[in-house]
Amino acid sequence: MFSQIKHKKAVSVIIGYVILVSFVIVLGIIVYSWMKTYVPKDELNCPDGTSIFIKSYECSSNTLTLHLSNNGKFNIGGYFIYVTNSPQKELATIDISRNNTDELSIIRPTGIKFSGLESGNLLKPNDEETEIYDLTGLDAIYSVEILPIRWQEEKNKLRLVSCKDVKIKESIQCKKACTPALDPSTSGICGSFVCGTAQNGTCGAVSCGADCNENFFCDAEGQCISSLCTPALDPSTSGICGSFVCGTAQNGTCGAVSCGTCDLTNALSGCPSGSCIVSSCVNDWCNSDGIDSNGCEAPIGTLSNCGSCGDVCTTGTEVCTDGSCTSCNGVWISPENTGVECDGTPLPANCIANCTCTGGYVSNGIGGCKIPNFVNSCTSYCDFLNYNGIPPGECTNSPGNCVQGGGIYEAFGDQWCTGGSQADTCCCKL
Amino acid sequence: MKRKEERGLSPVIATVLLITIVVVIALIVFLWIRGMTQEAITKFDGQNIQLVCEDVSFDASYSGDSLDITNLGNVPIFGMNVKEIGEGSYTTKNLREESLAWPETGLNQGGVFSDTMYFTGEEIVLIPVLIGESDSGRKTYVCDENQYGYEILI
Repeated sequence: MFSQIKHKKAVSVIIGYVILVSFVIVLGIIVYSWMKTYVPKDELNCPDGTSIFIKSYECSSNTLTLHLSNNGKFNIGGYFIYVTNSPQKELATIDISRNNTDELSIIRPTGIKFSGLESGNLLKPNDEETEIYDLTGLDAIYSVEILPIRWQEEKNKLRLVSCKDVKIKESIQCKKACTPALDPSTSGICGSFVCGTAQNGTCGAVSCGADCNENFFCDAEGQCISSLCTPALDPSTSGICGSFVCGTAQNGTCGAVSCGTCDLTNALSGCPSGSCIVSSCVNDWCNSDGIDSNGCEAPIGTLSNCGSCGDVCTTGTEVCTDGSCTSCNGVWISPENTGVECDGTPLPANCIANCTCTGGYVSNGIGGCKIPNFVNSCTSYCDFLNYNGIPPGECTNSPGNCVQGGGIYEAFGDQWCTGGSQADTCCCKL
Repeated sequence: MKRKEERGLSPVIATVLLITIVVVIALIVFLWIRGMTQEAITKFDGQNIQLVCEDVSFDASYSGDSLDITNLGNVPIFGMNVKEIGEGSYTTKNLREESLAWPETGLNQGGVFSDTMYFTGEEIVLIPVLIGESDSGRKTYVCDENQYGYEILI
């Protein structure tokens, strides 16, 4: 009986295996469902070799034009774009994608896609694209950062992918242009004044508009730039803003640093980086030497700064007249009046020999005309006069006539000619 | 002698009972252990959010009292903890609560954040905070500071 029980099997071998396998499978499913979230997946990223760069840029008063080029191996779909408005900013965080002049290329909420309507990687390798941004409302731009993007298929879905490893940064100088002040006398447009570069002789100081006040000023190039000093950290105190000296003023509070009172001669001053600089000159003065500390030391209206600062008249051939360089060449009619202009006005100091002599007169080599050397007698002089349309006459010694007589007075001499229709013409020997 | 030959349970029933008991005990142990571990938070079609932290990519700087952050990657950054480390102590702030400039939906792809913040410590560490799905709804997850913290010396 005992041996009968001993040989009985609880379950068959097959059923035992089935149960065991089922048990393992169930355990496997439980473990998988618990651990499945930890299965790593490939990171979404652009392929190696994706690259873009800013080939060139142009910056006008309110427009930034970027010439982008795909210098990688793969197509690019678009990009995110940010700029900085301060030279102290390390990271660009101003998104200007909404400022793109091509509305169709703007991705919402941010980003730019190439070639307008379609969404795809349309910028092929070696292709170039020109992007124009309206900078109205923006201040100066000091750098631009571009992060390329691509459309890539992920689980049968088209996804926008940031190419995080190929972000580029480019330093640019794109400052806001000033607007010349209006002419208060005419309440109209202030002519053709060049903001910053030229003094506004009629309209008063050139301004950069209402939004270029306080922390900004109009620099010598006519651009509205920040005038705030940002103090560097004091390395000796590891981050504590101690006794910084920004220009002439002390910055003990780590706040905005001012340069105190900038009293520069004939100038409006600014403090962009801790020292007083000339932002613009008052009327008719110019910062000719480029040195800020002596202000605007040179007057406008001279040969060196004729119409504006740096407007130099050409030595020997030009003269500054009423704010413009004009030629000092002329036709000389009075051979002895060396040192005077053709019309009798004094010869400008800047003008040297370059006048055109007429009537047989020749250049005297120092800016005037003279009777030719071959005219060395009264006879020859009479012939010379004849050459100039005066009939010859009889030559007579008569110094008094040379001095007192009418007609052409040439010089002291001892001979005069009479006769013909010009009987009263004096002719004096040279 | 007769009682000795009687059987208590059939082998089949005994086996079934045994297996049932083992399964129940295993289930109890599993639930107990699962309760002790973190609840799984997933993002992007069931990927554990701890792994998603590896894909977070951002750039940051702090200069002139301005904290700037740019999301370079493809993972939206829901929030950002700022651990301000001073002499022998630290404090942690959440930018979602500290700054109105932080986007309500977080920093999406290409998103930027810039705001004036004042820190007096020697160093700050930016720790990204993500949001994901869990059995009990949407939950935030703070990425590991040591692995994904972004240090900035002040």
